[in-house]
Amino acid sequence: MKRTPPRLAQLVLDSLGPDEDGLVGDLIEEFQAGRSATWLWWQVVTAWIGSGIRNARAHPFAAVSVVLVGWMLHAALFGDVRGPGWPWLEYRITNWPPRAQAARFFVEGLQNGSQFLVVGLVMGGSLLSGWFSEPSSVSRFDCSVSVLVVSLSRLVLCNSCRGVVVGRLVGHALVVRPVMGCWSKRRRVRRGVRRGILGGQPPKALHKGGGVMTGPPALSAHR
Amino acid sequence: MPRRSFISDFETMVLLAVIRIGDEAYGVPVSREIENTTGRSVSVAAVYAALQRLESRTLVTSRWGEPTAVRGGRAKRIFIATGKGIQAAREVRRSFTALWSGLPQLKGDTA
Repeated sequence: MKRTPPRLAQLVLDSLGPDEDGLVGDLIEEFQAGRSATWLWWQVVTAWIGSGIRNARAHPFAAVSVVLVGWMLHAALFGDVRGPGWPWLEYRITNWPPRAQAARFFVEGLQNGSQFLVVGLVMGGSLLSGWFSEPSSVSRFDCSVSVLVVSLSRLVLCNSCRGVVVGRLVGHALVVRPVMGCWSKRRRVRRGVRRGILGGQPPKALHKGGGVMTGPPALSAHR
Repeated sequence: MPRRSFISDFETMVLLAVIRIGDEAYGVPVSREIENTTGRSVSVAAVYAALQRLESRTLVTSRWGEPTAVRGGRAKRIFIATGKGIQAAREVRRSFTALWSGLPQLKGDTA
């Protein structure tokens, strides 16, 4: 009986782009040969992280700019640049005495800085996993997933008691749904190309060639 | 930044596994070969990352196989060691042999 990988794992693997087709094919083959879902998820996570790191090393300037863009996107969505916040910490430091103002500002600075880094890296790293290396690929999916994760975590951590959940969810949906739609359309096109038009020729085969097994066509013809 | 000229511990393992497997060396057999011979558990993604680094230094080269349904319509990327890669493996062995020969206290298993 043919086993199909978990849908979310398949989506993440699809978002890696054609450069990773060999790796993705290996993981699917192993899963169908009897490997567990836990094994597959571990491989998917390492593949996703590795792909992001390789893309960042290959495009360092793009990596920095995309982290900034990711952060600005977050700020535009939520109207400030402070990030999710840690309510328990805010409660504690607002009760500190006036003499401890310097320490309070220091803690707040650490909090804001760490949030800037984490949120920017999460969103930027997700964008990086395909956007720059393969502009026509399914990396929009990563973008929308990261927006979803960040916004939901923010809602859970900070805003659940402030009465603005519905408004922000609507705003989030207005942004994410078109992105998801764009991604789904491209994915269907890509699948069609792989199954039909290419007819057994992998995407990179024409470019990388291998150079090991195949000789120049001209020489084959002369024989 | 100057490019490093040595190959790392893990890259050496991957290169040797490719040489041992021969014609059908792709991600999964390479990771299995490393696990079976060293007992070290490795992820397929890490193996591919090492293979790509080795390929960028022309120690291995790759070609694409035929896509199959069991792989979700994706082709195998098959790697093979180049002459330069085999030479690099020999150099690693020579270096390690030279280092081991200077350690008489580790000749037995008593150390």
